[in-house]
Amino acid sequence: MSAFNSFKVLHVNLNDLSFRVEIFDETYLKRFLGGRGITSYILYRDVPKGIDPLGPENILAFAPGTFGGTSAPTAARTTVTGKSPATGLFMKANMGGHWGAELRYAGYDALVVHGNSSTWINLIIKNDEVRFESAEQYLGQGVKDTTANISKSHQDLPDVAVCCIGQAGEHLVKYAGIFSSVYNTAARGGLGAVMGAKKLKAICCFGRSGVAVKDNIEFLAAVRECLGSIKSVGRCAYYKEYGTAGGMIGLNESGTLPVRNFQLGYMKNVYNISGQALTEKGYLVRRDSCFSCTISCKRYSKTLDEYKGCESGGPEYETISVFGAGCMIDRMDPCLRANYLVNLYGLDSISCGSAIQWAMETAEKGLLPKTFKDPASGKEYTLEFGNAEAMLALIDMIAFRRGLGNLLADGVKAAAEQIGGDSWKWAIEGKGLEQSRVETRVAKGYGLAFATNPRGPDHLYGQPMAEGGYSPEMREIITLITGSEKYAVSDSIAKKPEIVAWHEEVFAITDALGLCSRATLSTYAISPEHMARLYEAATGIKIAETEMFEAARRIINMERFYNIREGMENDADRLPWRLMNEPLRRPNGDVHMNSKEELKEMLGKYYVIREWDGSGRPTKATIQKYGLDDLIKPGDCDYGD
Amino acid sequence: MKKRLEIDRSAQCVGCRQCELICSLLHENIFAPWLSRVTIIKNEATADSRAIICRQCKNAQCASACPNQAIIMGADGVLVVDSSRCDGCMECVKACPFNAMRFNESKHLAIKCDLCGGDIQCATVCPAHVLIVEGER
Repeated sequence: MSAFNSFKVLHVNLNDLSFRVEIFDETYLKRFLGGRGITSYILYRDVPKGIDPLGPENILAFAPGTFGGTSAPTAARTTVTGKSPATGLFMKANMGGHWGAELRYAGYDALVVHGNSSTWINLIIKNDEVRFESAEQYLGQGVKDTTANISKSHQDLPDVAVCCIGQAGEHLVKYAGIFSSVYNTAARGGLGAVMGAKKLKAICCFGRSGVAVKDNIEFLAAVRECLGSIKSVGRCAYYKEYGTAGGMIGLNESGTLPVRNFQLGYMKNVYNISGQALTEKGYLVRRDSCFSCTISCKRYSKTLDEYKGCESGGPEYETISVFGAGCMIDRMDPCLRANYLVNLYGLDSISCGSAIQWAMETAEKGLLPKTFKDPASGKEYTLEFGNAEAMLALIDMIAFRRGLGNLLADGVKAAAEQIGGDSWKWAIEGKGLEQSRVETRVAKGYGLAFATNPRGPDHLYGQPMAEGGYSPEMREIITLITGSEKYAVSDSIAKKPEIVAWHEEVFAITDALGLCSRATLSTYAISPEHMARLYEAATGIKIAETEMFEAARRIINMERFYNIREGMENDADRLPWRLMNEPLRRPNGDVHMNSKEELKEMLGKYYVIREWDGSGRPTKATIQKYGLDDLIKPGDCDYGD
Repeated sequence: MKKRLEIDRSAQCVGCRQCELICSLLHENIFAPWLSRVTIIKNEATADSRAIICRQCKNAQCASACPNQAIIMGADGVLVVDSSRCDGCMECVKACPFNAMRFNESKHLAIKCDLCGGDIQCATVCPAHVLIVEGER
């Protein structure tokens, strides 16, 4: 039974199909809070510098978070950690669903997969029994079929929780994701390709030992407080009604929707591809929730007029935004078909759509041929914005690395390096990761958060949505951080380093505890105070809010150190070229950019807040302050001055 | 009027399992959805979830099927399992036409919804208002 006296890690080695259990004592739980904290440390400790992300030295660490399996609202999230084949740096990706709870019910707080298998296998965890089986029969199958067929062939494991890769992971696409409960994806940074390189098709969990918290009555009281807060926050109801894609119309109206590979901020007919249309026009079949989540932002939808028969979980804002706005497709059905395909093949929709919009622009500028052929069908397509058929064919070709898809399957940075010319200027990436769907030229806090994110320019490390001040809760948060509501202005750099630092820290706490950032950030329904109360009741470990933030800074330093040890360049904290050099012109005439000067000013202040040196390296004093000096070996990392 | 737990068929279950979690915590002191008296059947491929609850039948087939008369009328007029009499034969589980009888495999005992002694808890955490308490006044 998982009971919070320690942190129990199951280490599995695929080189020789062995396993062992490692116990971290209670002090680690307080030091790192749980999940992501401890697995980031394990990544630093167990993965030597400079290794090939697809080689046997890389690990995949799965951590459900301290509240996994309990009724703490939204405690469904599992963080997956490893070295990214897209960036060659630290990567954590995060998935919802039911799988993390099941791992905890089996008695483990984390699973770390080492080594690469020589043949395709599945890993089965049934309580304290660990076994391997051949996965040959599931090869070539998509996520949905793999999940269904594994469940069917394991009658001894009713309702087994499956996390697996699709064909994209098998083909080592550098933005393949890891999927659990069919549609929940640890999407970013290509950890699905790491799983593919390990020849690990699926991890199946079945647990019947339960999770006991220290103080039932107090825990339940804290849960009820969170449930009440979720009920009272208007943005939670909005996410339930329209899903995450409910933001498309508002962003478009304000001219900040990333349209046409970030060339424009506005497109016509955006209602057609909005969460509102999804709900109102009959595409939405039903709403769904992750384990223990009462927000229910998830969708299950179907195509109506074209591409009939495509039913799938989603689409999320990021997916519909990149395929719809990014590739200039203003019809819902092709976007739903794209969503269906990325879920089927096991792809990260952000990077996949980004690669396609980059290819469309590259063809427009004459660096790629105007047409391409799918070698499988022999069919020819025109590579241009707005061509849904071309977009959908490319998703297929990427997943199986056919033709032009093979170039795009390595991500836009690698593709631009191969094509040459100026094509890198419209490759919307940083550190090798395609940027998520935020117009950072207007949202300056997001710009800073994207630049400093160890994963690359992405919203799921520090999501400073409050900077826009769109809701009463957001304005309250800005007042809490800065002392005044007047700093709730997106297009200003004032106080953004403070705002970003707070958000990164709350995100680290959220991940370590296994909660969802939809609840703790973006709606701000679950506060750090709520989390501290839940943590104490669950673990019996007394913790002040300030200590949680200190643990968060410890985690962030650990992850920064990993990247510095890997030799991350000093100027890696930047944004894609286009956003720093080409202005965004909004329909109201306003012009915006992420200028070098603005970014430099924010970075300088941010590094001071983080207690790093002028080039962003943690100093020896910082390591000592956060008690990391016994974990970070002397000499193996270049400290800051 | 005695309170009743009912399902509002016009509401859509979102499959969050909050009901199962609070039930297992309050009855078994542990978070373990498989030990809950209310059950959520979730098809993850279609995101289709539905709740199964004990109907508190007047002529309860679970009670008639029990060879040990272990399902008895409790003080508050609700059928409950007398665990001292239950030998884990599972006849009640097989007999329930609603698949609402549950079984604790580790304790080898049948388990059944007792309406929380009159203070029904699962409905209080259901975000979709699928589980509702009738007769509250």
